[in-house]
Amino acid sequence: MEAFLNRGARRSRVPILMACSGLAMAALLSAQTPSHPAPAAKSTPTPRAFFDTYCVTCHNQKLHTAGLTLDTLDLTHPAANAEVLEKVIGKLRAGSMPPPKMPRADAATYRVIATDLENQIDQATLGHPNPGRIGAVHRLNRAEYNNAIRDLFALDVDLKPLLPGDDTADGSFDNFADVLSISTSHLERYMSVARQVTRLATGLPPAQPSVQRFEVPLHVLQEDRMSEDLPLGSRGGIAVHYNFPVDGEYAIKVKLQRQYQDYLKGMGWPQKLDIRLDGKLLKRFSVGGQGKGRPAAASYAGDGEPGFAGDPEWETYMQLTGDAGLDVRIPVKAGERVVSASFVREMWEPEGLPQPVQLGRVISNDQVYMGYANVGSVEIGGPYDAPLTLKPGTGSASHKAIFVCEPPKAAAEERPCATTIISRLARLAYRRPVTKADTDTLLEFFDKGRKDGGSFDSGIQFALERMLVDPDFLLRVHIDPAKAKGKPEPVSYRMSDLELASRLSFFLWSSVPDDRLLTLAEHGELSNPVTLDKEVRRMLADSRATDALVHDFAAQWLNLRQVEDVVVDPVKYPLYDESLLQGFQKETELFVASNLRDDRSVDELLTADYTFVNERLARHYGIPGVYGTRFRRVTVPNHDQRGGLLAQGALLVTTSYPDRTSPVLRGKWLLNNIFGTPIPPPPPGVNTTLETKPGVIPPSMRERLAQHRTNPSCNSCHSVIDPLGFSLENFDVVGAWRTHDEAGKPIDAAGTTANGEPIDGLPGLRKVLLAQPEQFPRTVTSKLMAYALGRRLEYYDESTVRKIVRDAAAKQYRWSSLIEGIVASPAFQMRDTASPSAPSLRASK
Amino acid sequence: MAFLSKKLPRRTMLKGLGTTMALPFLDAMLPPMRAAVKPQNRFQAFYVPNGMAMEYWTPKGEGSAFELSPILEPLAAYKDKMLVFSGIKASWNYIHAGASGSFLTGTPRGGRNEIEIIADVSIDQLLGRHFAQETQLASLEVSMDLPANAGACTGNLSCAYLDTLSWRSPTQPLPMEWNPRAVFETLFGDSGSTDKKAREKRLAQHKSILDSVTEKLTSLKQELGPGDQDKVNEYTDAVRDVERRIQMAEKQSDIELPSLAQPLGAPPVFEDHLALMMDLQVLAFQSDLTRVISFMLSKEQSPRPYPQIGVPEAHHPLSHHNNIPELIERMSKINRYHTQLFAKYLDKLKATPDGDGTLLDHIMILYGAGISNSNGHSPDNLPQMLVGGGAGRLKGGRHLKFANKPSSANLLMAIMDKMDYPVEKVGGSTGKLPIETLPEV
Repeated sequence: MEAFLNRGARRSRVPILMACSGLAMAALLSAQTPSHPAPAAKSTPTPRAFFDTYCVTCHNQKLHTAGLTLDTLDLTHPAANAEVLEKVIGKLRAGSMPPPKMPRADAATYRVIATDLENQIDQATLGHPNPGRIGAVHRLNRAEYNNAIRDLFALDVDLKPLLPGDDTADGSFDNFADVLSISTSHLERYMSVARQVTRLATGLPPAQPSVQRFEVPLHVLQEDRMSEDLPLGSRGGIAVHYNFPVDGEYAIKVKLQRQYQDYLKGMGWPQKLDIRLDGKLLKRFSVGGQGKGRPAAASYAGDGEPGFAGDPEWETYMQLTGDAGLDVRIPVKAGERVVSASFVREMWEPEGLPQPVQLGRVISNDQVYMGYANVGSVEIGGPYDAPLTLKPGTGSASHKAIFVCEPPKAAAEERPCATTIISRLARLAYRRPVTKADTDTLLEFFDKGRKDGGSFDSGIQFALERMLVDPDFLLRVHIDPAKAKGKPEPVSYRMSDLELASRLSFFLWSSVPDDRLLTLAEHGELSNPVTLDKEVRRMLADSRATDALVHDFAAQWLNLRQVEDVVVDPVKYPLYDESLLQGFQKETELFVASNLRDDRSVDELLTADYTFVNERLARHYGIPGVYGTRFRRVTVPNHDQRGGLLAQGALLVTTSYPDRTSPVLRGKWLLNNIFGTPIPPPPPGVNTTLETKPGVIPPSMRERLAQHRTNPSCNSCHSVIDPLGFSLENFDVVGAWRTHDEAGKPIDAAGTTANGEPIDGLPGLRKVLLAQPEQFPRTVTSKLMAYALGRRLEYYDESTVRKIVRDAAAKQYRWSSLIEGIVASPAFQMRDTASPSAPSLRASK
Repeated sequence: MAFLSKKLPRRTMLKGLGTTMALPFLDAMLPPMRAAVKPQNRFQAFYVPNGMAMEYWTPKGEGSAFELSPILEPLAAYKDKMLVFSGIKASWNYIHAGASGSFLTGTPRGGRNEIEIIADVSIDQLLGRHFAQETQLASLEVSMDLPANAGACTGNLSCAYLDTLSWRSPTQPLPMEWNPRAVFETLFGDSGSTDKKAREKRLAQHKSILDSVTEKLTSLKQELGPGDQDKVNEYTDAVRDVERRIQMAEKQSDIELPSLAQPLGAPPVFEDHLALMMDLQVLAFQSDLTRVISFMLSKEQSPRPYPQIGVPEAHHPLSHHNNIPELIERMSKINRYHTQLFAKYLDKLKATPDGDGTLLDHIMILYGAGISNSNGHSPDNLPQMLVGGGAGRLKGGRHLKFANKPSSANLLMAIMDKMDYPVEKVGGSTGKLPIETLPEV
């Protein structure tokens, strides 16, 4: 234990006593097994000789290039200079140094030197790794808050539009403790949301009727059945899962979509619109075909064009009355129900229009007039009964989840039941055993709410409202153990079982721990490695794990959230529309989810010969035999053109400009997110414009990017970036396969990596990536570990990452092997105390 | 015939047909406000992203003898209230981060990696603190963009630099609210209406919650080491803000608020959403709930396309126009559209009586972008101007050209001066930009 805590020469480690089982400690220690030897190579130079030959020309005492003095760096104890050497190793692994045209060793020698240095560092830190220090105060981010509400109250509501966003950065995650701040608007929003969700969850009638609107995005095609919640044989529309707070009368109102000049779409012919509740038809309307008088000219482009607008009665119909009165008012029982609006499907094929139909943003009037009417939004309002007649809704799942006991009739005897309800939820929300002080505080609020609202339920509601604004709910706080305080140097300590329970649940579920995890933690059993392993597996089997790891981890790692921001030039890419973009996002989400759920090797993310498509996407990818809007797994017909993340639209479209592909963006994306050898942004002040003569389209992107070669300050990075990007040139802006580029030249997807390895097209890129079996798993592990810890990885984490990847090799780099490795690591289970000599960044500024 | 009218917006003209239509909820609902004793000055930032087509922005001529450029032409009615600057240089320039990051902070530097978030306190926050003694809200921060949290923003820096103009401390960027419903709650509380009784009841609830949270924060702080208290301090500051606000609201309980219902959320059409956000801002000034608002028409580096004006291309990529004249001309349409929208806001301010004049007479608006030629993210010659009467402290109708590239931080210093709240320094300021004004009051 002494050795484990003492981290050697750089700073002394003071061991402190920890409340943990010997078993757990043994497991942490054994987590540091010796690394395997560097691959043998003929006449490999020593790192010293290698540096002297290839590096010190620039990185020496005199020139100080990039602040590096590799000529005098002590290489006899690499671990003592790990901070510098991990950077050097990164450059060697990327092959990005020395710069082009300088003498360099062959690729094999690079790897031998890098592995040698890594092994020496790993050996030296064996048994006493630096666990780092996660922020002492870690606010729940927006997704975690939302999931916690879902798990506490069995209430599935989307709270994201009601909460401030959490800022993130390229290569980072929105759960980094140091970056999550608390502003006045945060507090105001928390107070407001706490009231809304607790009223909804306890089934209290709202103070007044409210109206909520659900929109169908303007550029989503409504030509087919839109979701599994809509009836077969329907077209377009939307299905909404809505929580009706109490039994009462509600109104459901449909508005139709308009085109860019406010004309309703598809009003030229009658179509049938259904409003349904839980699939049951409430009312069928006929819309369209009622226009009278002279229509507007097909070319009419807005106000101020005399004579081009239609007759007033036609205009009134097209702008106002065409979708008036599409509403129903009905009594609904409390609880979650599906409200839907959709059309009865009637096939329609436009005639006399140029094909393919231009699906860009500006469409002429006559096209839209005779096209499909679309649902624009569904509004649900209510309850419209007189407030006094409304009784709390008791039928919902949330109500059942909260009210675990029934209060006796006599108001004076309610307290025990109130205490039961409140303390049970407070334990889950605060993620620890509740104290008397906790319940006393909350019972005070129960009393106030009971008095003001006049019912037991209103008392519970107000207590829960108070609970959701508590720092113990909103913040994860790590307090340095008393024994460590006042020490001259930082010490490592093992976090408590309760802290571990929260770490686990926020890592795997992006939410609070459940009762079982807390119980194990309270009994001090969770840190037992056998129990811990079992719990990790149990949590991974829960659908919450796949959901959170896909939507919060993978979506950020792979930039999936950016797909929503994509704009494509509709003139150059007439086949693009919002449905395609949504399809891309869905494809990658389903693909990663299946990889995770089935606990496959992460390598399969690159090598898979299957993907997930619906008819729209299959057509786009040239995959035959797929019909309908449902996504399903299909084997790709040509593995050299599709299969794996690298050939998925989400990646390809987010790394393109609206009107052309960008080998630079794609190359950079691959280096950052797949190769795991990030490239720095261009230095400030550098002109990044590739000169072209105004108005002249250059012959090809390859020739344009060749300018990078002529400029040494560009070339040192772009010689690494550009060839990788070229290998994906067969994919156009929207990820469709192509053989000719924007300028009409045949695609040349061949290139050479900085290390001199040839790389040709998608198969070549896969080959290069898999040639170093540890490379991609290492990238996934680094990203996943930063996400798991909620902090940036530092140089001292590199040993841990390598160790996890090495151990996972025997398990084919399955997800579970990486996740278990992270959970078992000291970085996850331990923490450094604050350094008295180094105040935090915030405090110092 | 009504349809021929050019001036009336399309939706309003339909009222002439004797039908009703969903209008922005505030129209014609504003109650008369109490007359101010003396004109109260206000500050507003009105930010537009992705630089400017400078060829179409810079006015011809200098001083009061200047001609409006194509981009400024939609503001012709307000020419005498515009003070247009040329020659100012951004205090910090780093891709897109420096543009919005320095706009109100005047910071000379930013972070160096994805987790280092650092600038300087922005002037809206400085002014907000100053006015907070008299208004319920120190300041309001609003924008038109849903926070996407998508990452991949600017170089390797935090998206915070692009998403906000407001910095409460050098390390705390403030979120901007895009949802009209949340802005409504910020202004009028979350009781769901502006009814006095409902508001008071809700305020009392808030008060009891905050009191009990404060106790807990105090004990939490004691348990944490000195270096770990920053976040808890942020939390405590937030609690104090809201408490102060409640006290102020109680003191001003006779303040007349318009009777209106809470908006549902953000309308799907950009211009409808914008109209609602503008109405809420006018209302905030008019009710004197705040005297400081920061507004981003779009976040920096925004890709928002503008098909409604025939520019369906994404704004940010278009702004990297390779200096091709045709593309610059295209981008200038977006810039001009933005000033058209800004003119609508000025119309609303001008239509709102305030003391002996209108809101427009008693405000100073900093309009513009944080880079000039977007193609290379140029920090030189920023397209910025001050608009409004500044309660008599601002003399408009002029185009001021500065030589020697004075720092934008020095303009911020001058603004602080004109707001009667002079400070020693803003960000990296080296002095005060000499903007001639009316004789000091």
